[in-house]
Amino acid sequence: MTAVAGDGARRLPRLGRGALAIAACGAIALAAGLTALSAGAANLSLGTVLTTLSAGMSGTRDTVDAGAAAILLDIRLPRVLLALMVGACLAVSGAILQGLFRNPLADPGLVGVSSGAALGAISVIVLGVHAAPILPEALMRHFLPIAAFVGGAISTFLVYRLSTVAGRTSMATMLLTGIALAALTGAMTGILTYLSTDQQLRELTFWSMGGLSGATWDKVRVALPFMAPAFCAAPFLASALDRLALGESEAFHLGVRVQTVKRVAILVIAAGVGAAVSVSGIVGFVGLVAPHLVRLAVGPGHRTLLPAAALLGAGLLAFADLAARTIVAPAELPLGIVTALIGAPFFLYLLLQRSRAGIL
Amino acid sequence: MTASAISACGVRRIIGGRPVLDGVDLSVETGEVVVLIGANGAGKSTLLKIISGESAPDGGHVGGPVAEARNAAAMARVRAVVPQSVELAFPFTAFEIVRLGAESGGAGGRAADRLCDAALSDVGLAGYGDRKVSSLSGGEAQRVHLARAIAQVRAMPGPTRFLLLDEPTASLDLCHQLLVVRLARRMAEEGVGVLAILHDINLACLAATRLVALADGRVVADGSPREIVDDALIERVYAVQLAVGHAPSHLPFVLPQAAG
Repeated sequence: MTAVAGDGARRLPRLGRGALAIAACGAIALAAGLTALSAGAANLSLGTVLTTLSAGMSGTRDTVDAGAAAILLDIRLPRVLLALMVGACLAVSGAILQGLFRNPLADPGLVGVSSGAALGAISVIVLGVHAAPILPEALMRHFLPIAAFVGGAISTFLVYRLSTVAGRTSMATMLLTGIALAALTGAMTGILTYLSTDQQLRELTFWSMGGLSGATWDKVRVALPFMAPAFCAAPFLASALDRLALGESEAFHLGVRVQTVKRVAILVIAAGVGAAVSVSGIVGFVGLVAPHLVRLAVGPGHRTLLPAAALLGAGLLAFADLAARTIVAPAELPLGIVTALIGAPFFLYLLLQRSRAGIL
Repeated sequence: MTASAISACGVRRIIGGRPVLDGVDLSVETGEVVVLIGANGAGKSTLLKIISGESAPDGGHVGGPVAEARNAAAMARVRAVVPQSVELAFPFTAFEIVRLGAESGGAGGRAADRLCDAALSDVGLAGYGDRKVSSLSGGEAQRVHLARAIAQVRAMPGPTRFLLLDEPTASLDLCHQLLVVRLARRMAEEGVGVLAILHDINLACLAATRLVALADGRVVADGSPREIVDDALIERVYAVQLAVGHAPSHLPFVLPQAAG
């Protein structure tokens, strides 16, 4: 009886650990956001940032310094918000993808989801001009995320079908499918490059390396409805993903409608990654690194993992974007390069660890 | 009116053109331990899958609370399943795994925590709650999943509860095989209907209130171990000739050493 009581006593702080992890990740995201708002070509003090923000929110913008207001509210704020949104979205999509594939190494960038979304988006950038005269402007704006969503959904579905047999995902097939999809979309992107004009070419090149330099309030508004499903569905998917970790049959025995959950997960991932890709291009590894760090800290339970990873991913990407625009100022590094510089060695380290443990 | 027993009538299942189950009749009432025996490939696991609602029969009829449940979540509140083996994708702790069972059965909060601690100590793993399942031995991990099913059954809201076990003793030592047998009997005393697949005929006789033998996709014997286990049945089911002995408790037993 004492042993049972002892168990309970040790468990309470652990339940609190989930809430603590979410709070800590939230603090990181907040710190990253504020740092990214104050730092840059023109350094603004934290006080200026806060007063300008509150003035901007309360509609009394003319009471503060016009220069600071212009930099902060028109240029930095949409960019930082987009970085936070894209980071959160990629991290939560990555965590859901890993739960769906039952594999902690699945990343939207590695398994081809991002390349599929990118192909969809690139098609719109290059071929969209031909559709522009016939389509209303408002529809054109949403064309990019919709095309990215469709591309992402098709590639997620393909990778899942190819690499998962009877509920078991082969990691080799999953990663190889990602490579094949990347090659295929690369080739098709190449064809589209021939068709594109100089202006489009510049857009394509920077965009394919990933970046947020073109951030506007308009992009925030366009991306948000596509990202929202991932965040709204996450609480409902969390307990199903926990059960799915035991295998599909066991998840069914524990009351999960497996087919429904898989379909919802694929759609949510595609919408989230598609929206992220359509505003920032291909930004890899956030979906791998953020969930992994959270799992290390508080374990794999998705009820903590999904929100904590979203907040951590937001913070990481805001910091990465800050680095991208300040390290080589006044020029700018593509964001995708910054995340790859950090994420790729991290991935190699994970591979090394797993191959040593014999679970590759 | 919901039926309180699981009943399968004339169940047929064809896999790869071969009738794995060819007209099986089986019933499991609450409060009994039905043990399913049969040679490899006799269709035991296939039958368990159909009873658990995981797959549908190609012919025949399955009735009872599981078949009447509207969806997976409702099924999880009338029956729990312990599979042969589980490959865990992420490093969950034993407690977290057992708690998934308690939640699926319908419990939450502190009540679920208490069910989990009780189930872990029932399978001899008190104090293992915070250990990662991946760091446990095969036998310990199997008992974690047994504890998960026990917590699920105890969390169920209604009186109609079933526990389905697919070779629960496969990687257990003698001491823990006996523990599982006693647990199965105890669950039955708590009013749970238990259906277990066991390979060890001696354990099967010890555990069963009723023994059902499958051979060639059909039920060849159905009754108490004392009534049905004899030389002829062993030869019919396992194609082995040996003499069945009787323990002082009058339970039949077989010694592999006696095989001719």
